[in-house]
Amino acid sequence: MSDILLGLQQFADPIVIVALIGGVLLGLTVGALPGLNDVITISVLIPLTFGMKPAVALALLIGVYSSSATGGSIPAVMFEIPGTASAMLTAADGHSMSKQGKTKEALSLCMTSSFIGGISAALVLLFFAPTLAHWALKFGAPEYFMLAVLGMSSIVGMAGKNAVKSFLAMCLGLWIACIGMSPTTGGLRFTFGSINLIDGIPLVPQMIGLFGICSILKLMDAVGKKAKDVSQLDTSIVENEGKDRIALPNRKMCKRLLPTWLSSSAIGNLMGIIPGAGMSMAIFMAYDATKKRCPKLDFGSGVPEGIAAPEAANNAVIASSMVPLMALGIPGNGTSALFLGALTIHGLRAGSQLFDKTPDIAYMMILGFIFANILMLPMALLFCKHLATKVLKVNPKLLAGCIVVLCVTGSFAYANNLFHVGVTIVFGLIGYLFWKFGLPQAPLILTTVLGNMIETNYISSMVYGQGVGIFVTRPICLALLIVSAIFMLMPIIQIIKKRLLAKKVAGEVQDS
Amino acid sequence: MKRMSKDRCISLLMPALFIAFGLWMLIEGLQMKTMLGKLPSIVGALTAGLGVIQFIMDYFDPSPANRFANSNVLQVCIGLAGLAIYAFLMKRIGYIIDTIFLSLFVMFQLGYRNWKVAVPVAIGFTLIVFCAFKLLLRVNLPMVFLNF
Repeated sequence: MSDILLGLQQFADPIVIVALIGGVLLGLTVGALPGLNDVITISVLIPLTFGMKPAVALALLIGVYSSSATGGSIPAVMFEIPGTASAMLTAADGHSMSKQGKTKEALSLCMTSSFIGGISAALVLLFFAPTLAHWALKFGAPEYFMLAVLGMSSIVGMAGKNAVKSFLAMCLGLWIACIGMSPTTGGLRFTFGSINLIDGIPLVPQMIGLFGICSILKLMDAVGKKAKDVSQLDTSIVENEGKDRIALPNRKMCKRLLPTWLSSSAIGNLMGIIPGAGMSMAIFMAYDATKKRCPKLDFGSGVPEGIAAPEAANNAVIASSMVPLMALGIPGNGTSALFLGALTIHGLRAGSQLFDKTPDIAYMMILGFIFANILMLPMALLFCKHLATKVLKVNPKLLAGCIVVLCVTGSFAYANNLFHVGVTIVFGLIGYLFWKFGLPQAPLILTTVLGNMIETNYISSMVYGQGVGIFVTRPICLALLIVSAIFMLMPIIQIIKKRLLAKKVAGEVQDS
Repeated sequence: MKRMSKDRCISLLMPALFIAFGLWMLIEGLQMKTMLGKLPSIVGALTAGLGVIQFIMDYFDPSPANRFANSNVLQVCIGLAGLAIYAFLMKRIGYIIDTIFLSLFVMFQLGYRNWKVAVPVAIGFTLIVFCAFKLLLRVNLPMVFLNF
């Protein structure tokens, strides 16, 4: 308790609070810019924080990290362009709500869900960091492989009626994951002699293409013959102008979304604690779990649960990814690796020494995540209120001209490489063709993320365990295998259940 | 053999492409070293197999939908060509001029004709994005003759 008070004392300095507020605002802004994310921003900021006091520097970085994922959902909802990778699923239901004239409601749901996910992870960090970090270290190659399998099993859940098409999209994603240098042998695959492809195809330009450029191509597709579609957006806004507003969800909505928030936050926390599991897997798993829990809802058509699940999960990953760093000195993802650098620059050591030698800084960081989330909610709501109101009044054709600027600049900015602009255009075409042929995009993105993880850890497991038996002899592996099997079999069980119910109803009708 | 309708031909195009792509991936994978080619071979075989299933499903679909009906494919092709030209010209004429033209091109393609609004918006927005990325976030955008 005294250590927590020591951490709290750091916030008595108003500069720390100002840095935290500035960080949150900066995070929201860069998150909203496609192509820029927390990693890029923190990389740029670390050298600037060199002359600052450790508490001020860390408060600034924590603010950016806590709010960038939330900022990413703003363009996802408004334009169907995820500002960050973590908002890719929010784009589906969020933008669908936006098309129904409920942009502000969708944005409010994003912000509230992000707050709940973020605050849950910060509390986990505060109370369970050392215990959970030791548990996460039990994950080896076989467990990571099974974790990736679990992630892939969510494709079955997402498949719905288009199972074959989902699997075809998955295959294309796996091929994309194969491009570049093999993580196991170092050999080159499908690079076609281009040095730009040696590192593979990065996710950010892919997503900007699949969502941003694709949405512009969709508008072009509708020009002339279906001119109504191009101006559909502004009409719906006028219709809902009075009803749609930036506000916290009402009690009824909170009651409805509570199970989604709790389950998604739990998934996000779990994925964040496991080093390397990542935000993308967390959002897919949370989305799939919610979809399975609410089979009657039409996900992708603008249901609040479709926004709440990925948003709560991605923000839960943020603070929980600091658990292995703060407790053991092992960074859980790219951003927490940057935090390790920031701590080192300021003469601090991550791991148990952080709590033993500098408890004031350790608890200041943990409390920083709590305060950042508390500050983020009203700031994000205000940010959306002013931004959304102005942006939504702009002519969609004029807006498309601005969106394309963000898309191409964002894809270039990702690695200062013009090649990535080309990647974005190609993926824009792929997204357009997927839309035309009714192929789902989610399996493509998920397998692109998980492809390397599956291959690397499968080969490592085979070398280590000398056979597939390793996947059933390790307890965590076996548990993950069982959960994956349940996930995969669930749609079949549901079909059987429906048929049995239909038979029962038919029998009852005949009897009567 | 019965003559296939245009709609059916279009619907069969996608699975046919996946079959061809899967076979190519399989052949490429088999030509690689054992470890390196394992995943591409499996994925290639899976893609070709699933492509065949989708082809059969689409072939026997009693009412194939023409997914390109009511689509302005020409506009999409022009849009893609415009984007490709943009990428080609970026290092030749610099980010600012190239991006302003791209923004105006997209507005024009979508049918926006009020140039008194379009030109200032394209210039203004490009400059705002330029300031955010180049000046604040230090992204090395190609400037050519406008470098400073």
